[in-house]
Amino acid sequence: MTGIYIHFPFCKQKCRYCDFVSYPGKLSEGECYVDALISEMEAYRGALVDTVYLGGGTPTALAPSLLSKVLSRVASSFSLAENCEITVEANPGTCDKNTFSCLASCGVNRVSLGVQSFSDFELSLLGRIHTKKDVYEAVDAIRFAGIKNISLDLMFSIPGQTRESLYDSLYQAVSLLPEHLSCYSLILCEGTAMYEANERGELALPDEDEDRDRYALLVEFLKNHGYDRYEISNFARGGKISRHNTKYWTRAPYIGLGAAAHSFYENCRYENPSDLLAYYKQVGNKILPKGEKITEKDAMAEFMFLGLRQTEIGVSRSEFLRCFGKSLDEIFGRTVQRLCALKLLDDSGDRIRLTDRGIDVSNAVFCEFI
Amino acid sequence: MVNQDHIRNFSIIAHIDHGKSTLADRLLEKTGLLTEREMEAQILDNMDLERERGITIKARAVRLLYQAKNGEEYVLNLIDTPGHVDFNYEVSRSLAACEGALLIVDAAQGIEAQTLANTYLAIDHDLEIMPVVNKIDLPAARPDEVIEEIENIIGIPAEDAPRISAKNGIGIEEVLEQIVELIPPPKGDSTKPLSALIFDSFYDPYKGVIIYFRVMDGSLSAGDTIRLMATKKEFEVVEVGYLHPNGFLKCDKLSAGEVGYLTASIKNVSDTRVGDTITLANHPAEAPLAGYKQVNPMVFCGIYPADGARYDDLRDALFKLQLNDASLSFEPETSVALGFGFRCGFLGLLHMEIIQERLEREYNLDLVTTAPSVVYRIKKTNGEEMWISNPTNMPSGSEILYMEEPMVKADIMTPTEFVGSVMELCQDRRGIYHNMTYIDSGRAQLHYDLPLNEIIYDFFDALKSRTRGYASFDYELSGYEKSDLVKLDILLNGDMVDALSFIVHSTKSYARGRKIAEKLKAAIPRQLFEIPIQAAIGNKIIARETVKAMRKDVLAKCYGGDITRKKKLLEKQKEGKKRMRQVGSVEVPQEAFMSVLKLDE
Repeated sequence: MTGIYIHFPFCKQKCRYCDFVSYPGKLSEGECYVDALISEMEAYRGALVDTVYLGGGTPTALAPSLLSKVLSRVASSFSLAENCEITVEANPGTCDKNTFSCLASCGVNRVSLGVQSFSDFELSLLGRIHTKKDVYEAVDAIRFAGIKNISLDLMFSIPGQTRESLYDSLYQAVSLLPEHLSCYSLILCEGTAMYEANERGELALPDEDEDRDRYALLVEFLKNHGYDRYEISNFARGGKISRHNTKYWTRAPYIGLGAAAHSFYENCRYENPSDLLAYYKQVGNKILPKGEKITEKDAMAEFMFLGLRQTEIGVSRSEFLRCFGKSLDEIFGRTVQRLCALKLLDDSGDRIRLTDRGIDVSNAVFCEFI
Repeated sequence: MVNQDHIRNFSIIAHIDHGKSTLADRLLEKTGLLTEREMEAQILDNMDLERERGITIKARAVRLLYQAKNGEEYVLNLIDTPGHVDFNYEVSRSLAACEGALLIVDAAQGIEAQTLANTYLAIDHDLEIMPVVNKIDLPAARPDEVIEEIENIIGIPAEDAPRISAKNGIGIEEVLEQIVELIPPPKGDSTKPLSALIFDSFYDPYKGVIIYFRVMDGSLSAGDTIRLMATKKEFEVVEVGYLHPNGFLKCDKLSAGEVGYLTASIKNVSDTRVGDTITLANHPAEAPLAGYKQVNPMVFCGIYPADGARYDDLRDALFKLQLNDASLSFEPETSVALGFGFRCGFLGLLHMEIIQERLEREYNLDLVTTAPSVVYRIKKTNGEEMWISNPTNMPSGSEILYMEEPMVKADIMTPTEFVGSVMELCQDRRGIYHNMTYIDSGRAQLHYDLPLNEIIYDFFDALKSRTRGYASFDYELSGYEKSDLVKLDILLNGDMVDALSFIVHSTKSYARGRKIAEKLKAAIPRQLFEIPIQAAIGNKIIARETVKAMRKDVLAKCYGGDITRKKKLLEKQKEGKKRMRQVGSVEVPQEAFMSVLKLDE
C-alpha cells in the first residue's frame, strides 16, 4: 500500500514565515495545473493506495470544483483501500461551507486546518490572512459537512507571544475538540520575510530556554486534555494519528504528484521540479522525476532519524533486523549506548526512544546516526 | 655608461596614505615611460595585499629618465621603502642606497610619528631631505602651517617645498626639477674594487633570486663571479640590469653610483641578506660596507592548518614565502589541541598579519593561530639560561630564578586633546613615561618605555580607537628587563588547552584570565553538556565561566518532501562538528582560538 501526496503550490498571500514552494498570484493557473496533475497520475495508474494527502501551499485556494476534479480522478486512477485516509489542508481564510461539503462528497474524511494561533495580533504578525473568527467558522463548516477527523496546526515561540497567549490558543484549540493537533515551534528559514526581520533585530523571539519550557508546558497541557504526543510535533486523541504522515517516519512508500512533490518507493527518492514551467514540461514529456537510490548506509540512517521522531514507539530492533538483515546493535550499538548514557535515548528492550531531553536536542542525536 | 653627475638616487618618505605611491606613479608618468592607459594605479606596489592596506612591503627600484629644464638628461633612481616600523632595518638599507629623500607630508594632516622616525633615519644617513607638501587640493589643506611644522620639528628649510597634488598631477614638474637641483649626485669610484649594497632581494621562479643593489664603488658585469661578504657565498652573475617601470631591462654593466638588479642562479634569499655587500671574488673590496646586521624575529605565534590534512600544504607555503622573506622563520611544533603546525617568527605584528593573510589568500589555507608571544629570557635555579617563544615550554615556577622580557622605546604622536587618554593606555600597558614634547600647539609626542608583550596584542588598535585614528606610533627594541611574569593556562571541562596558554605580567593575570574566559564563553557554542571554562595559574583557578548545556536543537517539521533536505542539514551539522577542534570532550570552533587575541573590545 502506498500513500499519495498532491502538492498545490498556490496561495492568496505568502505567510511571512513560509518557505514552502508556493506561488501567490498564480491562482489563475489552477486549471492548467490540475490538468498536469491528472496526466501525471497516469504513470502510477492502478497503485494500491491507503492514504491521500492534498497539501500546499493552500489547496483550498483553488475552486472546490477543481479539487473535486482531482479527487475523482484519484479515485478512478488508483485502487483506494476501504478505509483510505483522505486529508486536505485548508486555510481558514479560503474556505466555507460549500468547500467542505464539496470535499466531503469527494470522499475527503480528514481536514488539516492551518490555525497557528487564536490571537488575531499574532496571526497578523505571521502574515496569516485569517482571523480567530474564521477558524471557528471553518471548524463548524467541516463538522457540518460530516468530516469527523480534524487536525489543527498551532505555532509557539511566535514573536510577541506570551505564555498566557499560548495557553489561550491551546485552550481554545482543545475546546473545539479536534482529533489531532500539530504544534510547531516557529522556524525562521532563510529567505523568508520574518527571517529578514529577525536579522534586522525587529523580532522579540523567546530564547531557546523559553522555547523549550513552552514546549514542555504545551506537551503537559495537551496530555492533560487527552492528546498524546506520538511525534515530536504531533498529538492525537483516541489514536487518531495522521496515517499519511506516519508513512514518512516509517519509510513506507509514497507517490508525490505536483510541482516540488517528492516520492519514495522501491528504495529511491524522487523530486519533481518546483518551477511550474519545468514541471509542466516534465509531465508533458511523460518523463519520470529524477530519482536517487538510497544506499544501505543512508537507509539505516534514515530509519533511525525518521523513526526516532515517533516519540512513543521510537525505533524497533526487530523491525531494523527485518528491514536490513542486520542487527541494529551491530551497526549503531555503541552510538545507542553513548546516547543512553547521556540520557538522550531510552532503551527498553526492543524499542529505543528519545527522552524528553533527547527530543529537545534531537538534531544532535540524529547526527550521531548519519 | 651613465655619467655619474647625471644620476640622482632618492627614496620617498611618507606616512601611510600621505600619497607616496600616487606621487611615484606621477613621476613615472611625467618621465614619459608610461602612457596613462598603460599605467595601472600604484605601480610600485606589486602585491594586492600591499595595495589593499596601502602599505609598501618590499623595496624596489625604478630607473626614470628625465629631460631637465637645463636641457640635460638625468637618470633618476627611485628606491621605494617599506613604510612600517616592522621593516625598519630594510628601510635603513634602502636609505643607505640613496643621496636624497623626498619627505611627503599631507597638507591636511601634517607630520606623523612614522614619517618623523623615517626622516631621522634618513638624516642619520646624511641624506638630503627634500620636503614636498601633498594634497593641497583638499579643502582641509593648510600648507603654510605644515611647512612651518616641517621647519620647526625637523629643522630643515621648507619654504621652497613644492606644493603639489599627486592625485591631480599638480606640481609634479617642480618636484622633478628640485630632485635634479637639490639632491647631490652619487660619489663613488668606478676604478676601485666592487662594493655594492644589497637593499632588497626576492625569489623569482624563473631567474632565481633577484638582488637589488646600489653600486658604491667599482663596477659589475654579467659573467663576473661575485662574493657576498656576510654570507660568504659566491655566484656567477647571469644578468645585470635595471628596472624599467614596465619590467627588467638587461644592460652590460653597472658602475659606481648606479642602481640595478642582478641574477646569478641563486636558490635562496637567505643567501642574499639585505645590507650585505657584493664584491668580486677575484678582486674583493677590503671591507664590507658598514651597517649590516642580521634581523631577528621579535614576535612568534603558532600557525596550524584548520584542516589537519593540509599540514604539508602549509609547510610548502611557508617554504615558498620564506624564499622571498628571509626574516620569516618557522619550525614544526605540535599542540594537543591543534595538532601539527609551526611556530613562526616575525619582525613584528604587521609582518605577522601579512604572512597570515598571504597564507590564507595566496595559498588558500584556512589557519588557526595562537596568541602571539615575544621571546622571554629565563634564568633557571640550576643556573641554566633559556629563551622561550612558546608559552607551553615555560618551566614550572619552582625552576625559575627570574624572567626577563623584551622592552621597546615607543614614540607616540597624538593631538593634544587625546594626551590623557594615550597616557592612560600606556600606563595600563605597564609603560614607563619618559617625556613629552609639543610639536605645535595642537600636537604632542610622547616617549615611553613599554614591554613588547603589551603592544603585540592590540595596542595599535586601542591607540587608534582612543584617538579617533589620529595617533601614530613607532617603536624600536631597547633590550631585556626583569619582570614578574606568570603562565596563564585555560581549562575546558577540566582539560588544559595548550594552544590557549600564554605568558602575562602577574598584575594583569586576573583581569586577562577573566577576559579570556568571557571571550571563550561567547565563542564556544552550547553543547550537550555543561562546560566549565577556567583560567589557572599553576593549580590556582583565577577565573571561571560556564557554557550552559544546549537546550534546543530540533527540527519541528519533517514530512515527505523534506527528508533528503533534512538529511543534508544533518550532514552539514555533522560536518560543522568535524571542523571544530576536539579538546577532550569539548568541541571548540576555530574562531574561539582567535577570539582570545582581541582583548580590548
